[in-house]
Amino acid sequence: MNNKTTGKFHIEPFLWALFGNGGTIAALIFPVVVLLFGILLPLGIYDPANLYDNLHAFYGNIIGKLIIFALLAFNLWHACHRIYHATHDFKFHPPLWVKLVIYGVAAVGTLVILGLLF
Amino acid sequence: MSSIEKVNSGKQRSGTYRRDMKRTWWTEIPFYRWYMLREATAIFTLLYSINLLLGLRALATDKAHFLAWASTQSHPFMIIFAIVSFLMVGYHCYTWFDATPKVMPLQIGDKKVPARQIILGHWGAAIVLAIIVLVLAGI
Repeated sequence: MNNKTTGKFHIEPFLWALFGNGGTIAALIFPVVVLLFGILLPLGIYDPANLYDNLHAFYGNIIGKLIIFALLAFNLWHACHRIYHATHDFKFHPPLWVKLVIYGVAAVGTLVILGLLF
Repeated sequence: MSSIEKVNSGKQRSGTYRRDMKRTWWTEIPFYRWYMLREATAIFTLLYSINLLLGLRALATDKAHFLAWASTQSHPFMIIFAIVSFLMVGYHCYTWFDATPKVMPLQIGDKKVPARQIILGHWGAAIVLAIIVLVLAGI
């Protein structure tokens, strides 16, 4: 997006949009996902073989794929955005390559997710 | 380096006074510490997403790989990691819903929707989604 007064292109609104979407998805659905795989599954409340069957059917469905993509990819963009901005909170004002590396984690992660899904 | 030295050395654009801030500024009052905790939730969001990414890879491979990934989740280290991640993600959730009416005020007709209703609406949606996920996973 171009700044109205300077006309200069800024990437930040796009990154913020990814951050905002990711934050909402992370807030709405990530707690229950962590609860399911991290706590209830090890407690034996879910049978792993049955969980596989359910997840595999979900993964085989286009809507399931889109939901998995939305959850994981936006989470990565959200987390990387906060981690990058934390460098400023700690008064490090890193050069561009640090920003590229941090957001690069989200970008590579997104490509890996796409590769696994489609 | 003091502010005036920064100006003289060209590291600061103007002679306006800028209060020097230490790297540890956020330890000073609880409000800042909670802010930093909120930002730190991102570390767990990232790490847990990577764990789920490995799970997705196993799911995409075959049943044996998925069962192997599922069994790694029972390792004591992974359980501690999951509990801490759950608390951190939960804290993110709480702060995010609290901020939503400020970031996205909602208006229906000429009436502004009260902040409390927006926050409770999000909690309601999260709880309904949680129940759907937990039920669908266990059918």
